[in-house]
Amino acid sequence: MNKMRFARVELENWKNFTSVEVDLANRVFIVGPNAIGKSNFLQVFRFLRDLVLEGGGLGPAVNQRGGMGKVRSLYARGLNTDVMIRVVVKDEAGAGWRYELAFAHESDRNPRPVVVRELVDRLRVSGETERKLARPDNQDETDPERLKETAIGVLRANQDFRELADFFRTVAYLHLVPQLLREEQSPRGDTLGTDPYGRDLLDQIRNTTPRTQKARLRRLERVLKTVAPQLENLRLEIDEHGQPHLEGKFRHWRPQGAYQDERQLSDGTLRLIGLLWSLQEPGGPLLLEEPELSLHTAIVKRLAPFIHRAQVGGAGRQVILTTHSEHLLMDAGIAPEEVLLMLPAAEGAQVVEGAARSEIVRLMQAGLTASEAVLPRTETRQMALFDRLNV
Amino acid sequence: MTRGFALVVVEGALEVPASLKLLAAAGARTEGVQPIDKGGRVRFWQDAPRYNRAAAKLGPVLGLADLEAFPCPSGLLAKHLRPSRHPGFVLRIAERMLESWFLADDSLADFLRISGALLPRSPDTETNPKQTLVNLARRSRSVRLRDDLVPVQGSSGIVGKGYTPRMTEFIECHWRPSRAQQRSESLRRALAAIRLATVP
Repeated sequence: MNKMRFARVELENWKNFTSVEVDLANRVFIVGPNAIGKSNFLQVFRFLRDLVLEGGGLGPAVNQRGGMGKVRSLYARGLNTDVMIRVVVKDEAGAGWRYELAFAHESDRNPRPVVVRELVDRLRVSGETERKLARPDNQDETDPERLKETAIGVLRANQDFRELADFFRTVAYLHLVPQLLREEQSPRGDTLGTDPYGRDLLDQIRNTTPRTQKARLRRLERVLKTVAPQLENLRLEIDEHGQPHLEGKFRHWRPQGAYQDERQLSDGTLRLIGLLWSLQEPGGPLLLEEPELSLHTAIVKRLAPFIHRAQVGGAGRQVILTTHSEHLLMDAGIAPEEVLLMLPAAEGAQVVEGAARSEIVRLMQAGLTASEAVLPRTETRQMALFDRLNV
Repeated sequence: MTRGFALVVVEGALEVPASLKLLAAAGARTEGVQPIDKGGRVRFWQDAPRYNRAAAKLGPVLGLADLEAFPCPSGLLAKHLRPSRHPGFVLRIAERMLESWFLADDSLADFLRISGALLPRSPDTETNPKQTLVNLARRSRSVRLRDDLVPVQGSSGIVGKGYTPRMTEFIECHWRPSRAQQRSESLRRALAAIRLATVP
C-alpha cells in the first residue's frame, strides 16, 4: 500500500510557536525541556484531524482547545495575527497534497474562528502542482457565513481532495494513562475521535473482527512476554454488564496461574499494550506522548528499532513521538533528520531539525548517539538552579 | 572454576553481546555477567576513571570501547585515565570500531549474503569499519537486511534504523571471535588480555 505521511509542517502563531518550518521523517523524535510545547506541536495534527471528524469542524476544533485566545500565540501581534497551519502530505512515490489554513477570530466582539485563507494543492511526482481550492472565493464573498467552516471538513465541498480529508481523519494520538483505563471512566462527552488517554483502548480492541483481534493479541502477547514473562493467554472478555476487559493469566500468582484483568495489570504493562495495539492498528500518523513512561530502560533502549520494524513489517504508520528519555535516543539507527529539538526562543519556542544543525550532524556522523548529540542541547541553564532550591 | 570479571562496562548496545562472546571465547566466566551499557562514548569516557578506581577494590573490570578517530589506544587511555590505568582495569579498544572485529570473521559474508571475497583482508586498517560494513550490506541479496542496515537514501544517518537489533543477531548467533582474531591483531590482543586477567 502506498502510505501517506506528513512530510512537512509550517506554522504561524500556533499556540506558543510564532513561526515553525520543519520537515518530518517517517519516524520523528521530539525533544525539549518541560513545558516548551512538545504537546502543543502534536496538537497541530490532532487539530487537522478534528477539522474533518464527524461532529468536528473549525468551530469545535478551536473550542475544544479553549477558543481562539488559547489557540493563537500570545506573541501574535502587528500585521499578521492569523493562525496559520500549512502541511505537506506525501506518499512513498513523492506525490501528495499541500494544505494551508489561516484563521482568525471574527471580530473583537465575536471571538468565533473564521477562515481567512484555505488552499489545497495537488502535488505530482513530477514536481508540478495543481490548485484544487483557493478560498475565500466568490461564494464566500457573497455569503461570508461560509467562512465559519473549512472546505476540507465539509463533504460536499471536499470531493476534489477527499483523499486528503481521509488522511487527516486517520491521525491518532495516544498518551495512555493507566489509572483512567483502570477506573473505567468514560471519555468526556465532547472528545472528538478516539480518546487521547487510551480509555477506549478496550473498545478499540473489541471493535475488530474476532480473527484480527486474536491475531493481534497473539503478536502483542509475544512481545509482552519479553517484558512480563509470567503473563500468558491474553484475551478480551466481555463481563455481565457488557463491559470489555483485557484478561491475562499470571503464572506467579498461583501454581496453575490466575486470570487478572486490566485493573490488576501494571502501569508499564498497560502502556505497552496500548503502544503495541496502536502500532498494529491500520491508520495514519500515530502521535505518541513519552512512550518510555513506566517501562524498563532495557526495553526503552530497544523501542526505536522496534517502532521501525512495526513500520516496515506491520501497519506502516508514521510515528511522531515526544520523549525525555536518553535511553530511547541511544539507538545508533536514529538519524539527525528524525530528531526535532524544541528550544526556548525570544518569543515562545522554536522548532529545529536535527539535520539542520551542522554540529549535531557532525557529532552523529562521528558515531555519537542522538542521546549524546542532541539531548544535552535541550538543557537550559535554569535547570541547574534545581540543585539549590527547596520547597 | 573459571575466574571472571567483577564488572563489565561497555560503550554501546552492540558491545553488550560482543563482550559476552569475547569472555566466552577467552574462557572467562559469562554466567551472571551483566554488562553495563554506557550508551555512547561520551558517557563511557566520563565514567572510565570511576571504573578504573573500582578495579582496585573489586578485582578485574573489563571495559570495551572504540578507538574511533583517535590516533592510538595508549593516547586515549592517557587522556582519560589519570594518573594511570589500574592493572585490574582491562580496557580493550577496538582498532577504530568494534565493526572491524566483525569484518574479520568470514561468517559475516554469509550473514550479509554477500561474497566472502568482498570482506577486507586486514580490517584493523579500515579507517571507518562501520561504513565499510554498511557498504557491504548495500550489496546484500536480502532486501530486509539492506533495509535494516543501510540508511535510506537522502538520510544523514550512518546506519539503517534496524542496525542495532540486526547486528546483535549477528554477534549472538554467528560471530566467532576465535576465528576473527586470525585477521585482527587488535582482537587477538584483546582476547589475550582477557585470558590473562582471568587465569587463576
